[in-house]
Amino acid sequence: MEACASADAGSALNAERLKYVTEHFHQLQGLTWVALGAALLFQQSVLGDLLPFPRGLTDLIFLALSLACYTALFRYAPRYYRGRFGWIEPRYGRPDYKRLRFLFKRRVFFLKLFAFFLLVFLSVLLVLRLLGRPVGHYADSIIGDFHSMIPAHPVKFSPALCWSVCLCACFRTNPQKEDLYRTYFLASGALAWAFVALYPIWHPEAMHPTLWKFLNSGWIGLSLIAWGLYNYMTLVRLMPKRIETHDAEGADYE
Amino acid sequence: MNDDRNMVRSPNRLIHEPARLAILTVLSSCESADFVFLHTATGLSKGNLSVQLTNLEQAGLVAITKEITDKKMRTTVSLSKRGRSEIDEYWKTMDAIREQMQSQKRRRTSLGRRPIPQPARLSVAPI
Repeated sequence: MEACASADAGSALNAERLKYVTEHFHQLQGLTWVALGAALLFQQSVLGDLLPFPRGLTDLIFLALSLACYTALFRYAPRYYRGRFGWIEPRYGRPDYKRLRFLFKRRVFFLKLFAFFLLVFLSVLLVLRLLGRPVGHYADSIIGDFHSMIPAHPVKFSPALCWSVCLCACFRTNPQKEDLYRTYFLASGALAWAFVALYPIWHPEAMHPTLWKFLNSGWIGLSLIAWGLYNYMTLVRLMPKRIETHDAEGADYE
Repeated sequence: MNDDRNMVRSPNRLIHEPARLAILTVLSSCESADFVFLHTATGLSKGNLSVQLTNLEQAGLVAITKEITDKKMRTTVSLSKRGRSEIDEYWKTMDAIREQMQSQKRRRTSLGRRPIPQPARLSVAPI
């Protein structure tokens, strides 16, 4: 009982951690993301090349696996989280005056930005209309140089771009000390996808193997699985270790 | 005069207890939570948690509702209006104490003396 009491005292008090876990509880339910990512991944036609079976059979197998993932997503994942971690109703705070003012300022800023780019576009259009021919004569050689720099095969930058946007959003929301690893996770993910996208520039033969095709076509599923696993591990890490007791006092509350 | 300036209202002792503070912190960050979540998030034993919840309910800080879903009893706990204002007041008091401690420390270091850790003076408030 004494050990239990000391463990209770030690585990209870970490206000910032408790607030973070409670406020982000629904976002940290990563296994639902994993199920969705796996379901999307199994829908990739490239996967059929990995198995030494006829095409129709592999399609059927992956369709069954995809359906199993959707079942896990909608049926078992919510039940698992409810049983293992419990349930909360999130707090929907009313937007306060400061928040409304911030939103208004941001809208004004974007309107100004749009007006600026529109002005630049119209000016360029006017300049090209008046001085198009002489500018084009000199620009041809520069554009030729640029054209030679573009690789002959398509490079898929969308995964790295998506991860970079998430990283920027993570910086913008001022990462809390409870979840500092998220920044490193997103940065390493962005670097990994940039490496996958740029690798064939130096090794063009890398485009042909199934692995490279699979990484490129299934990047959404793979990213969702990675994010889901990270969120799940974060939730488990932030929750204190369970103290198993056989007391009957709490039985009537369960 | 100086003593009056240093006086800080003491924190509510009912809330100041670690287990109860953990429960109220969780509840202040959401509308309501069930018993399993409170048990998992705070790491308290079920017995301790149920005792603390009963204490908080008797003090009028939380509201406990029980309902049967899927043939199982489910306990949902939410902060009452009074509980929400009390926990907000508690954090304000703690911030004031922290600020006072820091200003005392700054004053001592600016005078060139070695800072001597002293607790903030608390007024006696009814429990």
